[in-house]
Amino acid sequence: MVASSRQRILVVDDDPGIRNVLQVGLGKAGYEVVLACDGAEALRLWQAQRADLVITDLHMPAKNGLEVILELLAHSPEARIIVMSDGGQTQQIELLGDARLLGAILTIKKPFRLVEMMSLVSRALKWVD
Amino acid sequence: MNENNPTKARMSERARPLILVVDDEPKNVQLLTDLLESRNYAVCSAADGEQGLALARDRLPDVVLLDVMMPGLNGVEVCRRLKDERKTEMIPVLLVTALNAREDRLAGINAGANDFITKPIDLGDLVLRVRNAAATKKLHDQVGSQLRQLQELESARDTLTHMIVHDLRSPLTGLQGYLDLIGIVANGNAEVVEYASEAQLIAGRLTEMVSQVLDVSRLEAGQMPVSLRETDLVALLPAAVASLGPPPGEISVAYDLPEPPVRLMCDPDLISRVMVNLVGNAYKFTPTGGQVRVGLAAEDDRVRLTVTDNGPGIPAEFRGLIFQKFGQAPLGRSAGVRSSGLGLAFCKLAVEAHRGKIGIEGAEHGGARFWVELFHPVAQG
Repeated sequence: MVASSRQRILVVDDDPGIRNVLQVGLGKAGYEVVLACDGAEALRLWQAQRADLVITDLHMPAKNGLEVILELLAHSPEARIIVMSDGGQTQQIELLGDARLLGAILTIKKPFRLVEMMSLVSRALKWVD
Repeated sequence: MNENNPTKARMSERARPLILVVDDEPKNVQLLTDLLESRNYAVCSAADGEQGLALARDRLPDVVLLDVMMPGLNGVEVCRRLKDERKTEMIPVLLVTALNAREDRLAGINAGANDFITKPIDLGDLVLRVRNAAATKKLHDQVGSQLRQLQELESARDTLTHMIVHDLRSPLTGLQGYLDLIGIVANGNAEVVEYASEAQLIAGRLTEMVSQVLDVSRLEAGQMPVSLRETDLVALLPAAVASLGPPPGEISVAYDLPEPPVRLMCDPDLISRVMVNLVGNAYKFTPTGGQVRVGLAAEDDRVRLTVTDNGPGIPAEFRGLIFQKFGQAPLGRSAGVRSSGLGLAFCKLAVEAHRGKIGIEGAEHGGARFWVELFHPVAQG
């Protein structure tokens, strides 16, 4: 599962455990991983250098996931985004629906297993608009 | 006293019961005030019905002594209004009437008066009646404040549980991810692979518990989607039980199933999880070498699922309790706990979301039998 020419993935989550495990897991699969701990940092990093894929949490301080999606797509309509949610609560399921409408292409509910995320990532990167 | 919140001040800070005396005769007011103050009551007074009503609403006294015969708003009317308002309805009202005023008494009873004092006033009698009324009021206040405390605690517990569980999901994802990574980098070290996969199973159980708490909240809020599909229960039941893995402690599982298929419109996922919970619960309380029986019976308008164990059973008085959230039946002489207290609450809510029924009864040899009844939709005629 080694990606050709090191595709860049921007991982955005305020939980360090998730950030780090995705960094290691995706790194082992051959991706270049960039980490942001909130939405504002994610947008700064994106401005500095685009990524092939963004994986973002929904609930974060300093710009939440929905704001990230909105602003990313406003600047770069081609951005590919995977949204991670805490799931469970109805409002959040609705938020996931909103995220999809806004252009995030794939969603995943926490807690998820690494393999699930890996297959989602390769699907997202093969995605043809 | 806290002027901004008279109710709170009344409940918690008032050392002496407060008696409101309403009488248009200043002489009577003075007499009753002196008498009651000498018995260690706090007294406030009003000279007519309107003023009395206003004072009662404002000060929320513990007892109201109300003269019936007053110009303007009379005592019976004041009493009726006090009893009509939520804020004042529990304050005992003692009506002061003339000796033979039968009509007044009937009107007073009709208006909700708690007791009567006849004129000419027997002071000894009055003191006793006021004392009893104040004691009743005190008990009422105590029960009310305990109930409020309980409700606050319960709501705090639910919020806390939900918050903890909610916050557990991100760390669980990280934990399971690292366990997967350990398995990946184990480099053929079978022991490392085995331990990582054992730890993964435990993390999986934690994940299950987290889902259970959230599912119970969602079912309680009526937010759990129930997707009905025609389902063959004869096939579903053993598959659900098998998903639990092999039973612990040499417990055997026996089935009493009719010929397939037994079809029912239900949410197969929810019903499977009900079975998983009931059978998992039975495993916990069945002694080593015991047996758990899973039964299914089709009747005209319903199907009945049963899970029977030969554990210690559940005393009749706890059978309602164990379906409540965090409810547990004490196990009598044997130590231990019945469950986390959520599995059965989940079952009840999931079955009720199907408009079905769930219950428990004593089984042969002292075990417990859980039953679930699910109904076929009534054909519209």
